[in-house]
Amino acid sequence: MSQSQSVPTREVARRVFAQEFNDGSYAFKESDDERAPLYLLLPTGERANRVFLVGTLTETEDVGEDSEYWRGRIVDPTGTFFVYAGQYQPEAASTLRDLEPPAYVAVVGKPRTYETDDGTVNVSVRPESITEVDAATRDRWVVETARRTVERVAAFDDEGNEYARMAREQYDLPVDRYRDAAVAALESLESHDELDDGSEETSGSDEVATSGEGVPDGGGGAASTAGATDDESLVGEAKRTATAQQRDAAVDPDLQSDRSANEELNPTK
Amino acid sequence: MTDLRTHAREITEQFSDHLDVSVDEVEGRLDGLVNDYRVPVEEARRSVTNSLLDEAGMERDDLAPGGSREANLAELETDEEWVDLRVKVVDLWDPGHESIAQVGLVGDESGTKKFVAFRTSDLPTLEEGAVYRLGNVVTDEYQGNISVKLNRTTTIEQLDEDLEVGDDDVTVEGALVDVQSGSGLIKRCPEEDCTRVLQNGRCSEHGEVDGEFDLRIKGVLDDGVEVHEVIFDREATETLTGVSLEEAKQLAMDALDTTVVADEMRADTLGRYYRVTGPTFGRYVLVNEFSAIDGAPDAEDVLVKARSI
Repeated sequence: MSQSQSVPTREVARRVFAQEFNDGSYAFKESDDERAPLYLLLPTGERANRVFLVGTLTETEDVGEDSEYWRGRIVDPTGTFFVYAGQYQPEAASTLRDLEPPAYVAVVGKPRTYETDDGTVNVSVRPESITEVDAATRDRWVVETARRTVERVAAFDDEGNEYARMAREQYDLPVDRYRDAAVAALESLESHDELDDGSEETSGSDEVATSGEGVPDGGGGAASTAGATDDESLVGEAKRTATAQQRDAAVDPDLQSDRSANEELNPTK
Repeated sequence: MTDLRTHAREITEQFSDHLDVSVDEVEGRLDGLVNDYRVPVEEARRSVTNSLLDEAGMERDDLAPGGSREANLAELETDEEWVDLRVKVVDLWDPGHESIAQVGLVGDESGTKKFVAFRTSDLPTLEEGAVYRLGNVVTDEYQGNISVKLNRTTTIEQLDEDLEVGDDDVTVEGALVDVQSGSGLIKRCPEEDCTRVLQNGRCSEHGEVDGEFDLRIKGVLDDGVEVHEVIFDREATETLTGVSLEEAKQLAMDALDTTVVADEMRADTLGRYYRVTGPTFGRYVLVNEFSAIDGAPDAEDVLVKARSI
């Protein structure tokens, strides 16, 4: 648009589901400048310096050693986002401290990657803000994120799609799975709506699947209600990653040092 | 040089009503600057024009430009364009300075622009709601915003017709992803027509002053593809947050801290989806109307697109 040249343009907050976000592991800068923005490469071929996500906060825990360091688990229809807030994110940290899960939350934040001892790269969100929102906002986010995801998948084979090419080189993942996950997420909204209508006659297996996940309706349980075996395995996968991250966050000293390194990279501080 | 001759002829034409000066004489002056003193042509032209203005006792605004053209407001994008307009006076504001005779908003089918008429130009007064043909006005650019200036050579002809003023408002929507500093309970400079926002009790123009409280939100709407900076004024902020200026002052007083107001507003608004409509001002959209977007949008088209891949 007609933005003045002297004003640095603000980075767009990308919409990405947890499954795809957690599949990302490659972070990069586009200039040698120390304060240049850091991007996470999304597997569907887009760079993300900032993300906006809405989901169900299912758990908060202070995993800090010397000072408070809060971790929140935020579930969407495809998996779990991990959000970490410490002394450099005082508002977000105090929100995590005060919030009583389960609750729908909206998070604006920066993707951060850290490598564990066994060499796997975990991705988390360093929040700029966390606010409690309602179910309608969450549903809107699911539709919007499905839309953006499908758009990225549709453009993946376009000629000149620089970040798609980069994603092919870095990840070599089939992007169809993200389209399928987006479709399943949308379908989960439809079944979620039926539940909302107050109908108690919903099939018993759905009910069990929902409560079995231990999250409120519309969260991880919603993915299960979609019924596809793929989704079941996704949830399982997200859980396994979650457990690993939990352990790492609690004991891994690398995480602590990585966090301070990340602070230095943050161009806004 | 023929090139200089052309410039000389144009300059001479501009002064034809005011000064008895020949093309040869002007060309001679240009030639001296360009060929003897190595001055770039544009600079030489400016210099000769200025000295002729001095000799004639004229202001730059008095100059007949090298021909103005018919234009509509939306196509005015650069500084110092001389144009003729057919516009309706949409709004008249209080002149902020004694040198200003009239200031306000004019509009045509394509949109609206601010206009200014200075006292020194000694022009007839424009009436709100009336339609005029304004001959020979010049554009002015300030921080990326184009306005039009009436000047001594401007001709004003009232037209006996009405004109549908176009809407140049924009509508943007997205999630509110940031409430920036300078939001919440702020203080403005009380000096007449200043209204600058104070930083630590200081106005950048008037120094230390006793500010007047106001409310606003400088926010960022983000739809995942584009970001838009938006400003909610006091009225819009009160509607958005349900916190009135008086309540905000009370909140700040109770906490002995004005920042609690912005914090409270952040908690109530961040992460929600909004649609706002209003004119643009530089990189900002000034919120005239807004609504919270409730409910999930129709996802049918996304499903169709997903299945077509």
